[in-house]
Amino acid sequence: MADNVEFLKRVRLFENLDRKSLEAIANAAVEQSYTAGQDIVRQGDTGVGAFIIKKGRVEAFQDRGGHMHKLADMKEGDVFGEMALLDEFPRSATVRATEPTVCLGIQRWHFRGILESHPQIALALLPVLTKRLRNAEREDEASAKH
Amino acid sequence: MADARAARLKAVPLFAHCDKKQIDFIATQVEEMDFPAGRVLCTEGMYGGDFFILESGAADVTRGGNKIATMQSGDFFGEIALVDGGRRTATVTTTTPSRAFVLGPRQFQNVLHQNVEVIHSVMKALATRIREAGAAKAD
Repeated sequence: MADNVEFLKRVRLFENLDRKSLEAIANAAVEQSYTAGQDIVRQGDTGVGAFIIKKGRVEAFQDRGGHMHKLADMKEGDVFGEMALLDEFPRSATVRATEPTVCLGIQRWHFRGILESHPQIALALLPVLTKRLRNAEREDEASAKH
Repeated sequence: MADARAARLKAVPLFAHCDKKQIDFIATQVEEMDFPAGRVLCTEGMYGGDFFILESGAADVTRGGNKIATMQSGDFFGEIALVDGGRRTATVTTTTPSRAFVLGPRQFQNVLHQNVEVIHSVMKALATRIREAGAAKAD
């Protein structure tokens, strides 16, 4: 469990959280194993939660009108799907294991339950989100100018 | 009189899930204000200010002089600067006579601390805006 807390520290959304809060989230996290070639999340599916890679490698790609566009390779310590902890938007990409992979998964409904019993966690998340929003809007404006 | 106001609070989506005790508390924190058309409710680049929930009427959201959104009955704004103490990210100006529930910085924090569902609604609204700004990558 202690080492799951170390992995949770990798989730940017959780950067403000203290150890006690991370332990509460670690209690709801579930380890899942995937074989090489297995899809972990599929583009278009409703997101169920966030994943932290404990072991292995994955690739993320996006179907853009029939063309497969590779987005990233990810490995141990990397995180994907964070936004699904907050809302129910469809996944914007497919993430597939490229070798046997183990992920720590946090499901939105479990996460929601933790927020309800630990309001201090919910409060701590707000400034992380506003920081991300400000950065996103700055980048958005910068790219619009070109 | 107090009951009518509590009913108006509960009619607003942000507080729709609140029980009587929570609504009664929010009623002690909130001011209900009427604004004419053309009133600037918050100014891009400024610090501080209030949190608004539009009860009726409408307002334009502008950034750098460009309209980026319209606020309508039930919509809220002002939370970003109140959460992180930073500058207002946009200017909001009423386009028709409007009524709003207004929470000052201290009162906004009081309501958040008292009500995790309101925190969750604010979080979801922020998440939607982050997605719209295109920052969410492999998700």
